[in-house]
Amino acid sequence: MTLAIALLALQFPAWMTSPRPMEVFRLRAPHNDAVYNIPRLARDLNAVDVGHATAYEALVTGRQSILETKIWQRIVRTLENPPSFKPDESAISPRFAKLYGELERVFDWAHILHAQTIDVLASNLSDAQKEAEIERLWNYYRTRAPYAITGLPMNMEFLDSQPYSGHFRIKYPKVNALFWGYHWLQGAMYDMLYRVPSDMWELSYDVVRDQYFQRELWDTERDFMPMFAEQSPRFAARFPQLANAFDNLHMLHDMVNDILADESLDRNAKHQEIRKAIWMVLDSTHADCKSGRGEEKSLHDHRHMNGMPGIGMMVGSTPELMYMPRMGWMGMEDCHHCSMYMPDEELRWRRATVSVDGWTMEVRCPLCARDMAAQYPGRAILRLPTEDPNRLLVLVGDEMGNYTTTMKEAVFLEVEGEHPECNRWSHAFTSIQAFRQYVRENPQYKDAKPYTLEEWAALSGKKPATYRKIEGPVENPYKHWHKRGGR
Amino acid sequence: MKNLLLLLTALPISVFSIDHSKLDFGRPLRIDDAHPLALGEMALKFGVSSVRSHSSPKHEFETSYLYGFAPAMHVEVGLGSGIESNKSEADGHVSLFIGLTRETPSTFAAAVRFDARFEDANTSLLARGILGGRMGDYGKWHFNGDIVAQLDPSFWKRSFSLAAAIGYSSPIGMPRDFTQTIVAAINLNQSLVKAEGWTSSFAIGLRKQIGIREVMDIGLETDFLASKGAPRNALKVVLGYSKSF
Repeated sequence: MTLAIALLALQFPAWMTSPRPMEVFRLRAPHNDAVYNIPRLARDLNAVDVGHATAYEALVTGRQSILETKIWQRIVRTLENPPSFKPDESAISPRFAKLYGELERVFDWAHILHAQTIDVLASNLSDAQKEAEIERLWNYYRTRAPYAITGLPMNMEFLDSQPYSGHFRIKYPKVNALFWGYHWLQGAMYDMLYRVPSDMWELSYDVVRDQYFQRELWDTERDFMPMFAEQSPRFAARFPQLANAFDNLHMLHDMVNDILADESLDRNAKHQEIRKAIWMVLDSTHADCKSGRGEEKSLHDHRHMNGMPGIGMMVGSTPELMYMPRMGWMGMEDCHHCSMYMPDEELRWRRATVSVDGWTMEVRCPLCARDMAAQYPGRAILRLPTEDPNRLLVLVGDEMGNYTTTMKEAVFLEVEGEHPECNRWSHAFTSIQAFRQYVRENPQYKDAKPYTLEEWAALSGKKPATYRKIEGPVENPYKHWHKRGGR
Repeated sequence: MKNLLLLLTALPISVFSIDHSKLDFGRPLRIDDAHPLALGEMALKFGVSSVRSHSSPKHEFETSYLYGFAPAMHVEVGLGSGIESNKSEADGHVSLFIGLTRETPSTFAAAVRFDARFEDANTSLLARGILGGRMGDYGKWHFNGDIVAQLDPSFWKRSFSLAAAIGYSSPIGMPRDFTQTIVAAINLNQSLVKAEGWTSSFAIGLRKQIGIREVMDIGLETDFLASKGAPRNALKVVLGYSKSF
């Protein structure tokens, strides 16, 4: 093992072992720090930085014994009273920064990408300008520093099957829940903002924040870290390289946590394993690789789920089938409510999404979104396509299924029939005029009533005859994943 | 002063490495951190100071622009002006800062800085060695060692003079407040005048984050020892603002 690590060290890029400072500044742009347009989100993200840094510092300063008690309480206090400004993490975790400066670089650079993409989404640019700017940010991230994380999908089962894997989540479940809670929020905020009208941001964040504070931060029973495409499938489909990079970043966090929690490793071995973990997810390590290809369950397994290029292979998954914590087995190509195929490629914008109970699913029509949300407890966000590809109707629900939107003129068509056609008979429109235009073009709906939001929200469809529950090879591939020695 | 504060607060808010926990020479104390700007980073610094000495008081204003033009390197261009006994004077400087190492288990943080300074008709060159490292849980120690060369010294001036500073900085208020760092330093400066000796001063200051990447600083410095008639200031008050973008 020691020899293997020593041999691997010869492959480490020079920057990783160099003590030379080499920080790179973020792309200078007018949208920087626009996240403060949503002040509560900005402050909650500041607290996430404190949470990360505080836990790491405790792990490297011999305070593991109080990590689940005093340190956890301290972090929670900060989460509940988040700082106004983004903190300097190296000031909170000076020992960690001294020991693992190369890791700090990788984290910082990826966190800058995280922050800047959210700044873009929270800015007042047009949707087209935002998409162009996010492409520019990704290009800047990849090309300006040698320590960028790959945007290729990685096999999470492989990455989470290292000798040290699982130590942290088993020994420190409460703090691990915090980490996964942060990563949940960092995933959920993308679809919360992507192509969503600015006047719906705060309303949407009410729901996301409730979920974050009521469940996600404390969920010690979660099977696996939250995956980006599980929280933000629309953004992940449009920018799979970013979705993959953020998943790979979050997996690197998990790997580092596990290494630091593994008491069988001495300090030198930990340092080498951390360098190896960094190397595994670096863009440069996968320079000749292509998305969708690679040897199964290997470092270069870059296959992704069918229909979702922004998520790599998961534990027990095949390209057709994955197990999603809290939801069970599923595919990414069919509607999660009626099991019918969903529009793809240029028509992908016609997919609706429903966010409830901590997950976000793509569905085929507004009825599927509404009825699926009604099956789960808690507040929901529905994002429904309209006749205009550039205007998304966003509905924020309460516990009783009453919805609010700022698009007050929106009306709905719902003439329930068979689900193979549900994307024709269930529609949202930006106005009554658009509804009438659709009815003129589709005379079979000439007698249809234009429902107001209140009327439509009170409807309930039949259980789709087309729905089929997907069965996987086992009930839950994560059950005892580490406890049974899945590695 | 009031106008200056108005000007400073009117500047647009946005901005990185200008951080309350990272020290900059003059902001507020005369000690540097071994931390270069990030590649591509820019920063502006403003400061006013008032010195009460045994002679007439002196008021100074200084501003500088910094740019991280290469990995681990930044340049700084600064201008200053001072008023003393109704007589005004101007000065400027151009600096090159080179980060050598970050702190690791086997190396201190280290940097060097080279300045060309222009004061009235005098030009001087400075070379500074900068070291730093962690001390205690969250604190940092700092050391600066300077050698200053006068390019065209008068007969009564030294061609070369020395200076040194040791300092300590630590964030305060954690884990509830992550916005401020207290800094203290002892400076030792050799007089430019051949007949005079050394001046020792003690300084204490605070760097406080006031915006997304904006830092306000305030400092007090007093000379507590002077040998061979070296000039001695009773009190220097410094107020400044830094912003990176």
